Amino acid sequence: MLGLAQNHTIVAATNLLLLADGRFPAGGYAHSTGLEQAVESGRVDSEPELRAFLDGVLATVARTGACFAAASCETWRTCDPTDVLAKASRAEGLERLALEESARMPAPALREASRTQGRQFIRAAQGTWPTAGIPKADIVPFGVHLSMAQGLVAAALDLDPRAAALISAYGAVLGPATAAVKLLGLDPLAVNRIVAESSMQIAELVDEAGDLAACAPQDLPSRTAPLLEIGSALHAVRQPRMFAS
Amino acid sequence: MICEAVVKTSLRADGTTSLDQLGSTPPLRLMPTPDGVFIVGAAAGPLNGDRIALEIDVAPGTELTIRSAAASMAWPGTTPVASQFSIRARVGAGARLHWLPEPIVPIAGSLHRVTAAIELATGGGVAWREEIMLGRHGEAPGELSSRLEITSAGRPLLRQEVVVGATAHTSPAVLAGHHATGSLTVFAPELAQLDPGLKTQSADSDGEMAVLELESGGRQIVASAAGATHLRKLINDGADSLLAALAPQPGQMPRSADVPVKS
Repeated sequence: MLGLAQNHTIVAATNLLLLADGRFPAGGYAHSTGLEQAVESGRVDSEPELRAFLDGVLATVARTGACFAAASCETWRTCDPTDVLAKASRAEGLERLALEESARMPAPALREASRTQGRQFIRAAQGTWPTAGIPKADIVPFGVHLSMAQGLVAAALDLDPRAAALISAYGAVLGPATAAVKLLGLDPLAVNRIVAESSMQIAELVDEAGDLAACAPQDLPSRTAPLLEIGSALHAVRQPRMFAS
Repeated sequence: MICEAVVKTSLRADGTTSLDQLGSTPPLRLMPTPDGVFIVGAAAGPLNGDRIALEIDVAPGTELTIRSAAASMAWPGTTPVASQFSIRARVGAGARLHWLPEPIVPIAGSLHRVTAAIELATGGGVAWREEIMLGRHGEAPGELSSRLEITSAGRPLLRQEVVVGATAHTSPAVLAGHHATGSLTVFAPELAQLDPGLKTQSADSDGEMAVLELESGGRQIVASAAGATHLRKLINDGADSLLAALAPQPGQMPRSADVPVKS
């Protein structure tokens, strides 16, 4: 339970709501996280299939993403910014995380979508909280992935690794769910119900990501979803398409 | 059952590869042939609880191909403990490792874990094929986790875990009920010649395949298909597209062994 008795808890919760809101201008609306391709290939056409799609996302790429969001948050916030050595080791730690996450993303289209959204997430957060000391998107070579952006912004706003994992996991569900309404014309309330039903899986994932936040990056999860990987390559050459990924 | 097997190569004075060490015990038996070292199942297994370790050392400048005579089955056993097959490979500078076994079939009720950790020296190359059949005909698969980790000088090039089981593969995001999935991962210095814009992918009602360019410079052919035969065809199609893209460079024709060969 969030203890909303404290002002600073309410502030943190408000920031969390803002970050997880579909209205947060991080460009997520342009991405279906593979749903458009799954619809085009005839695999998702109904509410139960959307549910099964989200189950698969949560078991694979969303799990990896949430763990990297939590680990990035932990890496940023455990560092004393006045300590030069600690800052250097934090920069190394983030670079290592970026390298490890890229090694878990074989599909170029998914890496590109992740970095595009990462940059936009950072930019939107800098515009929303100009004095929060939000790090730059190019803090690591090639730019931050979306999950790292979520972790860094969460840390800058004094949210913990579990909150970062929640933003990441919830976003991974909300993206395809929102896209499903546009692509399939599903009843928005039925889609909300599906999202609400996935809350238990999200909770398990957030717990795991929180537990692993400080572990060695090479040991973070790496489960793959072959059809999302292949689908991203098929989708990248498809014209016309409604979503960028 | 606990089994440890070792394969090591060394470079002869004439530049050819000699198999230095080949040691194995059931259920894993290694047989040298002109077409590579074959893994032969010498006992039923692995069964739940079995632990098999294979160590591969490909010395600098040598080549090693490992195949298997038949698909390997992971069997359920009397214990609820997963069977484990762990492979550690070191590939030296200028060396080549071709890991091209037949598919693994996790039989209903089995628990099986495969881990492959490959360390590539600079200039080393690997072609690593992995094919998973989701159970025998008409049955649900057992629980299988297969992790592939490729590193070079401490840097991760690829980390990937494929999980199939009672439900994990049915999602339209993961395998959509396909009965077979697999990949062929290739790292080789000559891949640097490839046009980064090169894209290969295909999809029909029986399966899908894409050749993915990894950030670390390698390529991964990923496929998912209704059955094993079509899966192999899709993976071979991907390998052919890589070979064709490498071929037109005059004077830089890769030796046939430099990139994955069909089998």
